[in-house]
Amino acid sequence: MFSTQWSVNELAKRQFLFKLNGNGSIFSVLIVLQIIGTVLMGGSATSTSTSTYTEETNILSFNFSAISNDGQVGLTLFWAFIIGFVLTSPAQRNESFTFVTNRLTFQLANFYFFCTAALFGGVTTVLLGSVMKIFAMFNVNTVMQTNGLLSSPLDFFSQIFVMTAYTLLLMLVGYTLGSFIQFSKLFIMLFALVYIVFTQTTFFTIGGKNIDLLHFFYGETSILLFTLKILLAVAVLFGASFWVTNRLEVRNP
Amino acid sequence: MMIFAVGATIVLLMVIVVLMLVVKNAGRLGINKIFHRKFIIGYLILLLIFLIIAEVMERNYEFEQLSIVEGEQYGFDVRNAVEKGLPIPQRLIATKRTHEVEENFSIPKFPDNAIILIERTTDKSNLIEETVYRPEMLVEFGGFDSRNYDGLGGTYYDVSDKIQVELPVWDSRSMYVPLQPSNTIHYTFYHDSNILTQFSEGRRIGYSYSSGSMSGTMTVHLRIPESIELHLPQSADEFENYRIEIL
Repeated sequence: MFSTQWSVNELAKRQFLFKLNGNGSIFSVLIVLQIIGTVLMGGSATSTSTSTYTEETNILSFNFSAISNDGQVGLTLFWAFIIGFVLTSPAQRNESFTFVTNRLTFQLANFYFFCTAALFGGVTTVLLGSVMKIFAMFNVNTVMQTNGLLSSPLDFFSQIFVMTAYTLLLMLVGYTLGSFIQFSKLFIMLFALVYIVFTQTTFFTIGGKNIDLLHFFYGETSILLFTLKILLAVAVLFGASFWVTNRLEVRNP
Repeated sequence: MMIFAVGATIVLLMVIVVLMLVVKNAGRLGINKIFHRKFIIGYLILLLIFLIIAEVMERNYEFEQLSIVEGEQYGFDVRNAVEKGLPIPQRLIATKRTHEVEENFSIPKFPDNAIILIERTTDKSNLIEETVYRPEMLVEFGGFDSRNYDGLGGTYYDVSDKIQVELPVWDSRSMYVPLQPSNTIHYTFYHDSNILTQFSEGRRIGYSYSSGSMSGTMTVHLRIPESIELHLPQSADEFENYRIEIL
């Protein structure tokens, strides 16, 4: 008999806040990764050089440098996948038993945490573009192929949305894979096999091209359909991990 | 390449291990919650400051304003346009000049880096009209290189006006085309990651592949009155003769 009756959502929110407080290092790791990535990639650029020669003289040479925030995007997505995976570890799972909770609130709290982490990853990655832009402006004959926040605010916020969506997706992929692996280590073999079959055989090819799973999302030009696809994928992944986690033992002493 | 692939895999695995260890042992590393909170807030403030700096710099920085052209418009046939009297894009005209010459006028041999098109007019004067057309130069950015080509191109910029042209040298009896200088074209392109621009106005699909190409050579169009006697270099080399053409 309790004097206060907590709703599922209230419990999940409280657990999420505890999780947020206890996992500050996850965000710090991303920051360190982004700083290292930016410092290492800041001065570098993809360069292309071509020259046309005649018998008498070097007539013409082209030197191009391309600077972008591709590296930071890659690092953030990589971080997202690893974090999703790490959150399925037995230590993280057992931690939830320190709260008055059940499987549903535990999963919901994890989902809230993923959403927050994805938003953080999305915002910081897009903002890091400004740092790379500053690097680019110190170069010779800079051609800016992108608009800033003030000149195109919609573009800016759409970038944050897209990055957040992909980060959330990658986190849930890592989380689902981790959940399956926690359930049975045999899944490591299965996933490795699926990966090899998918990438190394021609079974999944149409017209000489791989059926690109990324293209399912990346090829989408309508933001509404993209959102629906992401929501659908998130629901499927979350449902699968929920189903697996429910079948795990309560707690290993 | 093999060494890079193996090296990259080892580095990636090491990063994964370090990342997992740091996250798992964060509590034991002696870094408290307040530190993380301050670190995160400080980082976000720093990024916002960078955003403001970038926006201010963007407004004050003089970027290269290159005109974007359609790829298929590249390769304008100047010779054909001169012969048929068709309009020629202004961007290709380096200069238009008039020269007063004597009754006998000669064009000696010159390095093979220009074409001279001579048009004889019925005028009776000592004035030669000269129009110099620069070569056409295009820079493609964000296209597909030959290994990944699937028909989609990037953005084409016209940089014809960046070519340094050494104009023909004239005196009252002759003119010649000097050796053209070497040109070095250097550009830095900044673009947001392709993934991020999925719903932006200027969506990029291609890779960060850049290429530059020059079409044609410097063309000098001379309108010479018939009253001027013209002496052209004679050569057994057919190709050399082609450098000077009477329309």
